[in-house]
Amino acid sequence: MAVISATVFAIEGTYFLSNVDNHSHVPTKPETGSAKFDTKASLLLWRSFSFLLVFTIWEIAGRSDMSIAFPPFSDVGLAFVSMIFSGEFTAAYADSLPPLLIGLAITIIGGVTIGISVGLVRSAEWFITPLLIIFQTAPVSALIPMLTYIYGISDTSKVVAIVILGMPLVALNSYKGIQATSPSLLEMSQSFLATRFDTIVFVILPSAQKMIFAGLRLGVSGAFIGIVLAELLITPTGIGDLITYNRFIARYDKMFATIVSILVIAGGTLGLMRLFEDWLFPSEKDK
Amino acid sequence: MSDIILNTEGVGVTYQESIIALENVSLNIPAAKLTAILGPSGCGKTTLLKVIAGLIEPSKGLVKVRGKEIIGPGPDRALVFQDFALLPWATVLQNVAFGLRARGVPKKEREDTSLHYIRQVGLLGFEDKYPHQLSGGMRQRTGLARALTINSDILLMDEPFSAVDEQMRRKLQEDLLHLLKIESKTVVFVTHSIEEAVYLADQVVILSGRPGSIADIVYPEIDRQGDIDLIRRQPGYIELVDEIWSSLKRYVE
Amino acid sequence: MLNRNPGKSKSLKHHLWFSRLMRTSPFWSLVFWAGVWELVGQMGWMTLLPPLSHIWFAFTELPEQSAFWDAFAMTARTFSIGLGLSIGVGIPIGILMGISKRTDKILSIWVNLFLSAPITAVIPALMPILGIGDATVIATVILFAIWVVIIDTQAGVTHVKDSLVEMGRIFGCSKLKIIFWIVIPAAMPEIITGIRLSVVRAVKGVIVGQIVIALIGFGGLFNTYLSYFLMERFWALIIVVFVLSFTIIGLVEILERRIAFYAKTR
Repeated sequence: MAVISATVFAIEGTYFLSNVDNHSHVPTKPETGSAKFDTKASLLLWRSFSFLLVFTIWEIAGRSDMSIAFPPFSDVGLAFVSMIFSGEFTAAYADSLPPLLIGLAITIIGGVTIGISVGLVRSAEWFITPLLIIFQTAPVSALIPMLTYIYGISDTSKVVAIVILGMPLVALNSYKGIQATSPSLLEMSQSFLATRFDTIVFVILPSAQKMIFAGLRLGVSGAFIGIVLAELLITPTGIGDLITYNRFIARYDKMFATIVSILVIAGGTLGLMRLFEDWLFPSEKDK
Repeated sequence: MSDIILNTEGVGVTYQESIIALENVSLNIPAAKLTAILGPSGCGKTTLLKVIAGLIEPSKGLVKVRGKEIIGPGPDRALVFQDFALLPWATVLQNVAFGLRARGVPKKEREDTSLHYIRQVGLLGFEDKYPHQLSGGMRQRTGLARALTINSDILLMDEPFSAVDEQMRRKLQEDLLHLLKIESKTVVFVTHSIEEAVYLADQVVILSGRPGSIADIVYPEIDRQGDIDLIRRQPGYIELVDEIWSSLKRYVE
Repeated sequence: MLNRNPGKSKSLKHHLWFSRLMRTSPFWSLVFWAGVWELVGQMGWMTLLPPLSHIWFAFTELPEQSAFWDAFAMTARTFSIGLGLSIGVGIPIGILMGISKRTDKILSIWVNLFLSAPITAVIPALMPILGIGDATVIATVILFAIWVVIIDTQAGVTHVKDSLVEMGRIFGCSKLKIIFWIVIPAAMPEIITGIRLSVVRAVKGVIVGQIVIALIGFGGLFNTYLSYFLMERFWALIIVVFVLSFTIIGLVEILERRIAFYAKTR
């Protein structure tokens, strides 16, 4: 079990060093006659340097007398490794995983279904879109403390938290994807006398794929937020509780280690999803 | 024969140590005349113009203005852009005044100067409009007015009329010739249109591509002092266009 | 909207008023949902969901309570400071990342990580360091809001047309002039969008921060109302917070639209 968690973390970690995040654009400035080209190796070098820089600053800041509750990087690193092998991570993540997966399943299936229906059926659009917009924009997390009162201290609260935070994002993106179907493609389909069903299956849905996938990624990020928040507030199990417990017993090194583990796993998963998306749907802009 | 106001000596531009955009380009640009740089897409003509403008540093060779080597952009060379390069949040007046503002010219003076050139390019009445309210031809006139305000001797034009439609294009070509009769300027004009080159230029430099180098230099014997409307009817006009085309044909993909 | 198959409109003909209703703005459906809420509340199907009319009464009572105004002041204070810092620091960082390849390579991985990561997990770490008060909430707001400002500002800067920058160089602008006269105005549409998105996140941040601490601001009030089962007040407060956030976001959208007039001709 410990070996498995160690491997998972190692994979996510090395992923960071070599991933290509598509938010990083090469700045455009007038070139000189001989422009240097970014190699993958130099990117790796810069990334590693960046990590080194941050970890060094963390180490120095931690060792200063700023606060007891801010341990240096080395302490956190040690705690991290020890928690992998002691099985603490495994136990906590094992507790969090089932509601996370169930919640994600509902979010994805429900979200995509709702989003597509809203995109295709005008009455659904009229009834549902304002709700989706409210849930996406407003601080819905305010409702999560209320879940304990309804569902008690149980996995159900976690699942509901994930769903209310994740599903609106998935649904809205699917909806926008459908809406964004090129009108000229629709006209083309009409001119070839395709049935509504064929148009949906062969024109609209494929054209909406990219946005639906992007919505899935947002839904996953919402799910992570949901389960962490739920576990911080509600239930005495899971990874969120591991944070609260360690803070309670003033083991700040373990607390930070847990937080880092969450950030690594969430960041890594989302990054992998983005890579997958880029591989599935290469855009012409990518060089 | 006019004086040579600008010349390039052995200019070469190489990207990433392997892609040769320009090779050994040596040109003489006569003063107060219009020199066209003509060639198919990708032959490096825009690169050459940017080297002359000082935006790109050549890997080899140099550019001299009046015998002195250039070090980057300067007040002696103005540039008119293919995509107009107007500030979309600024009015025509503010756009035309931009070059003067960059020099620190006070507001009243730069606005007066700008209005003068706005009138000259035929945009009077539009000085408070924004680029998105203007047609392509008007936007380019704004770019031209801006280039004129800094009173440079050399005017560089990067396919300035290629982003407008055919009718507007012919009008702008005529207007340019009229303008050059009033203001004596040296113009270096990049184009991919043979007809445009023959219509406008005293000297046509034909560039072949990959690597970009001078294939030929032609001197159209066209009388532009008389009626501009009659230029295309002059004897030898069509033959010259055909001649250039047959020599260019082999360089087109 | 996508066209329906003309042959299938028979069923709609029977409900002409319905199809006319569907053509209105979808926001009218909120009237419908308000009605549903009232009904469900009156039926007493869910004790946690009182009818809207009762909530309305609680809403009118709210302004009389000092607890509400204390919470409001705290929220407004921490929100403004946090958002102000996010924008004030985020825009320069974004510009720097857009201009300097090196800065981009060092920072981009962190910005992207924190952009979509569950920052909520970090809040418990802030509490022992910054205490249970304004500082933690401000820090939370910043951690929620700053990343999107940086990313969108950077995107705006890198998307500035080359020819605009070249034009600046041709006319003799110094590097600083190019940044302030050309690059920043050209990037404004993206920057304002980034600000709007950061406002959305800042609202969530200020609320989540208060909820995790559970003792202060609106978060504390939510907690109090829940523990005493004052559901009318709880929902009234929820609606107040939602309406406030939409108002602020709406104001930013108006600003966005005024700037957008030139976004298309760049």
